[in-house]
Amino acid sequence: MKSKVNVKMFFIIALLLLFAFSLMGCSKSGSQKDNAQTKGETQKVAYPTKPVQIIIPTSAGGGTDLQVRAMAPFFKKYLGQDLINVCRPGGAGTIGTSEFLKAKPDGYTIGVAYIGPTSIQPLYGQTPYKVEDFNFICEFTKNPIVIAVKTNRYKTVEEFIEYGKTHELKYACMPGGAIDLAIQYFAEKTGIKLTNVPVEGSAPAVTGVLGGQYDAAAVHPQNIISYIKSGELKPIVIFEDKRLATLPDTPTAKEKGIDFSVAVWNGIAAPKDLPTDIRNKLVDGFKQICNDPEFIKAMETQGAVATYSTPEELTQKVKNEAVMFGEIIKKKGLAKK
Amino acid sequence: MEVLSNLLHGFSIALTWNNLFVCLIGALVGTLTGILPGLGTVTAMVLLLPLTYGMDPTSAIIMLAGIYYGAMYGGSTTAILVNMPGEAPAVVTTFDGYQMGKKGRAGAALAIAAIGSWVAGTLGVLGIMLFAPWLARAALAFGPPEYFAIAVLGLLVLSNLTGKSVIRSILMVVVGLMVGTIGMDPVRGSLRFTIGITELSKGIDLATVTIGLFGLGEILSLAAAEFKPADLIKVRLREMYPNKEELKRSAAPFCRGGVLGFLIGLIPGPAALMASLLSYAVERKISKHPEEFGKGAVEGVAGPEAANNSASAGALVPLLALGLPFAPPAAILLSGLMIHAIIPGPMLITEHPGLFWGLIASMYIGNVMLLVLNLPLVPLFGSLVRMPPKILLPIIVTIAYAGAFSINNSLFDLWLLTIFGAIGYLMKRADFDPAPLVIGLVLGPTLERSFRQGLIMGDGHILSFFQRPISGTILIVTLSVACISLLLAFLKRKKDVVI
Repeated sequence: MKSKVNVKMFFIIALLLLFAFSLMGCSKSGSQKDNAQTKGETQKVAYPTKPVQIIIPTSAGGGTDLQVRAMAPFFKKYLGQDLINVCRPGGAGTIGTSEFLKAKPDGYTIGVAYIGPTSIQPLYGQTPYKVEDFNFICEFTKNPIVIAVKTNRYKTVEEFIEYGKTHELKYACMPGGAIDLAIQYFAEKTGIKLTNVPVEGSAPAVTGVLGGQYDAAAVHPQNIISYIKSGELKPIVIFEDKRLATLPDTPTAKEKGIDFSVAVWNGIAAPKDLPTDIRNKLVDGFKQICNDPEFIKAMETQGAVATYSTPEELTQKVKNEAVMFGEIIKKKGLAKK
Repeated sequence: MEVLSNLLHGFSIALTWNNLFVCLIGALVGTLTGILPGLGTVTAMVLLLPLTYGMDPTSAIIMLAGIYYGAMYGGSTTAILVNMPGEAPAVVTTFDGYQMGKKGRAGAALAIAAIGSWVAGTLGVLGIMLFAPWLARAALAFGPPEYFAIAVLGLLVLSNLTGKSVIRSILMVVVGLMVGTIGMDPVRGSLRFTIGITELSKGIDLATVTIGLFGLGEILSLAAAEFKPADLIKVRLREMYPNKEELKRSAAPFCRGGVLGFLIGLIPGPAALMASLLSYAVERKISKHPEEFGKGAVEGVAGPEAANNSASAGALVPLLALGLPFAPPAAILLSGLMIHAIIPGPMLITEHPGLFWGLIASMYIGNVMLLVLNLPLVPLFGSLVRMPPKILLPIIVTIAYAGAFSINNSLFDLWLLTIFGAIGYLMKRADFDPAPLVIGLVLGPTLERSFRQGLIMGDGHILSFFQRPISGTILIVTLSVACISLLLAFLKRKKDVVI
């Protein structure tokens, strides 16, 4: 009897351990580093010869994580290796970003660079890295930004602006990020008073506008698409160069005479000291991935807009954004101590 | 009648072999996720997300939801066996469940937890089925001032949860509130108390703290204490299960916990833990023998274990009726639907009735599966208590560290876990109760964020909190109750008065 219990116990524990380590192994496998690595003796390195881990500075299961997962089969197709997601969220994206920038520059650790930790956070002077530390590979998607209001409240952006000239309007979004600064820029140029109610993401922003807590929410179109359909919310302006095919009735800020466009973009970057031949392989590979019609379709299914920019274009874009956001941070006194 | 025909339609979808199978997988993975400390619901759901790519959306959501509510079943296991919460909400189960285990009633506690989870899980599904659209709309009336009022009320109700020294409890709540301020400021994004460590800017994770303070703390004290071979009471299989008395005492807490948990589940934030804590407070308040709480009262296991299950059902309401995720696991469910190009919103139930009703039916089935899965495990886990600590404890510690790593893939978190383990051990030696610290840590960020949001909404006027009907009422009632009990305490001037 007793030995039976022991066998049972052993069995349970063995099972538990097996399960624990297989699951944790999955999430960990990306961070295993091959210690016995050849330290660049050969000039022409074969790359990639093993899976590449990609650090994503946002939450597992979030939009970016899903986009990169959908990218993995294309990475395999064009670069011949697996792409392994490692999500390292927190600190407005700066934790994961500083991790991949600090990683060994061997091409086996790359990361997702996106607008917040790249173009904005260094401006606040709290990041352990600078804009110059990024080695951009490409831009692959963007999510446009709209201002959404309750349908019966304001019919047009003009009405919204007119009202805002005499009244203080409250809008909800994550504070200090690209969306927030874009709205502040918009408010500055239109001369209206818009105050941010800081929320944790798009869900509480949309909830608050639906419940009449805030006047407007600054969100991505995909966050409110079902409410646009149901007629409860209306995107009154979009910060794009051209109207979106999916939102033909939403005017751009440019049409209204405010000449700027900002979207939350996602790109690929690597540590600065990446050897040139590895970098070229990555740049070529990602160019092929981003121009694959199947990939573009996969991104659109997720509600993102597939875009491709070369490393040079992206570097320039980040520079321009830093100037624009720097101006608004200075004007609004948003710099942090 | 319409509900009934819809539900039948749902069962016709959920009862296909394929959907029964994915439901079982979800329930299994959920149970194991709950049992393993540190390995969280969100992590497990994300790991299994790729499996759903090839499924149809209904099967995908059935499996992911199974993991979500299944995890609440397993969370109590290590809490009862070694004082280590498998999921953060199970921290409340350690108060009395672990004590029951020490008295040789581990099996009973495990079974009560499983049955309570089933009762409340089923109540929760009933709640979603009947009230989801209506409740979701009602939830929209709640903005930051209301959340602030609820958090203040929570702080007052919970500050002396375990009924030990009031001063020590309040001290620990304050420490918890302070720990909650570490990280990024919720309004300006400035870094606070991160002492130059980038990793700290994400704040301190609740799971790390609960595993450290309760689990590691207890294991360290066991290791430091002189080893006394526990009296090996021969426990027969029948005695592994709760007796009539225990079941009778648990029935009402199951239902109270179930209803309370479901309502709290509608509030954004760590609802399941809040629900467990409040249920514990309620059970202790209305119990005829409050002195038993903290020493192995079965109500202290039954109520909270029920509450955290129905809270996880309640948290699905905003997602299914509005398409808005109020909690991280709900956000993963949303992702699971978005992969299949289904965007949940106010029209989900009418546009995709098969998906909604299939999910509802699968949740009834899944809860039964979980009960059937969990009850036979009771004697097996119950017998683990008899294992020599020198073998059992290192295994648990290893699992806890692996689990804590999986939360953020961060080695830094392991240091935090170690530090909180050491703090938990020292607190135990100095006779400080770690529960109030957890309460401070849970409520702190909600309190701060909603207070500052409310102030911005009210143009900086603190009175604006009182001008809104719901928040005003809650705040005034809370403040008056606090003042009256303080006054009474002062008037009585009794030494043994408990505020």
